[in-house]
Amino acid sequence: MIGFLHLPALRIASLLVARERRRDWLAEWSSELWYVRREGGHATSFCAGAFRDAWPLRPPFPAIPRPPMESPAQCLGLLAALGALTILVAFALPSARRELIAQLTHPKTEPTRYRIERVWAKAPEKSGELRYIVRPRTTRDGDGLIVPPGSYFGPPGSIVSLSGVRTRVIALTTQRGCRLPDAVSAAIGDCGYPPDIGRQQKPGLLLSFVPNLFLACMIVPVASALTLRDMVRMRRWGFIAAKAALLVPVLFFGSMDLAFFGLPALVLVNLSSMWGAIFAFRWVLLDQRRRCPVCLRRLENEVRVGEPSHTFLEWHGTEVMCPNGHGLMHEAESSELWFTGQRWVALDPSWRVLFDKRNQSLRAPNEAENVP
Amino acid sequence: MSIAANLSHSAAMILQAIDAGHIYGFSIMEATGLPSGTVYPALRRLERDEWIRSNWEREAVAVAEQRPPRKYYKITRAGRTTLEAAQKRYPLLAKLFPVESRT
Repeated sequence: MIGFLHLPALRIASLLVARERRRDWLAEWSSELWYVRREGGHATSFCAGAFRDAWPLRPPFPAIPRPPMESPAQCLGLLAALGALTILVAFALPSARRELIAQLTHPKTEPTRYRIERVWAKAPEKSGELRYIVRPRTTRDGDGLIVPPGSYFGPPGSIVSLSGVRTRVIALTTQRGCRLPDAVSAAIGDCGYPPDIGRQQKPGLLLSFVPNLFLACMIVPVASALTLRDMVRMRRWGFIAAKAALLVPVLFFGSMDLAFFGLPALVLVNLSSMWGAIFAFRWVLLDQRRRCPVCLRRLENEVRVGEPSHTFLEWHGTEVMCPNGHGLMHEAESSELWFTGQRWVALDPSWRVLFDKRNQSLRAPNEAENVP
Repeated sequence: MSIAANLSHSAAMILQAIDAGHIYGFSIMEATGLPSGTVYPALRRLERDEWIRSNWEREAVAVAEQRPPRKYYKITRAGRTTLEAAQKRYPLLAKLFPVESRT
């Protein structure tokens, strides 16, 4: 490090130090640097040590508040609120709302309503020749044209003349809402699918979302460390199902919210729902493992138990406790122990008195009275 | 578990160096051969545990000698007890830094 950079380096390192100790810390290191230089020491390596010294003196990071998910009701309520938030955001963002409406107001296909009638006109360059017109069998006076976007430029409602016939453009087809077959460039009537469109249309968002969920359900038990035995031992399947069910709208509408950034909704739903579902369902199982099988509250007071060198007759791993005193959950750290995975140690009701919050609040004054 | 058992060998060396009269950071580095990234954090921990205490040199003295003031470290009574326990654990420790002066 070049000599003139030593002091700035110390100043940068001092920014790590808590404000109340910074001045004293910088004064000591600056002073020592002067002596290191005078004695011909390695000032650069000396300054490098300042960062190691400064790091433990950093101010404490602000604690990140954990979402309230201790009780099952809190957990389900939070997931429901998250789902509602993603739905609201999806309807608030214009592009996401447009995709949603296109999905929800999907027109029904009535194959017998249309028939090919005759050639009408030439389309602009990109669309090729306008060869056929699809005309509803139940054509009424006043029906208009439905044209694909490439063959007409203007707002719906305009009067156009095709082969000398004046008619009104009532709608432009969209990529998802009302597609015409390749051979058909315009249709008369309301927006609907001609008979052979059903085979050509791309699958909708919901149609691609549901298989992704199914695939994620298959992948999660295989990809995660959770064995099938653990899952079978899990109780309260209703709670798991409720969590998973509440996460489905979060995943779907959350991926729709991403459509706001201009990416194709189908691609987004395919990607985000797939990976999102894997992580979400894995979280469902992991969260279940950290809950009391009796009351479904989150287990607390995590402590490490044992030592890895005592694996013969002992075990080592993590122990967590039900806040209501229903029992202890032992989670082994390695597979060489005499039990693997999780082990629930139920406590009989005689232990409850230790966990009763009313007793704890009453005990303090009594204990205080005994203090001489 | 004894107090000395909680003391690492590096910390014991630094404590011994301070007791031997190397009473500021760079001097301790030179005496022990430890890098600054080890010596100064160890000094913070020893001071936190009240085994050493620090005080700044009077500025007038340093200015008179045309140098910046230094921060001096001094071993406390608790620190000396800990050092004696550490010397029993690490018998060669006392021979590393013979005591120059003890004021």
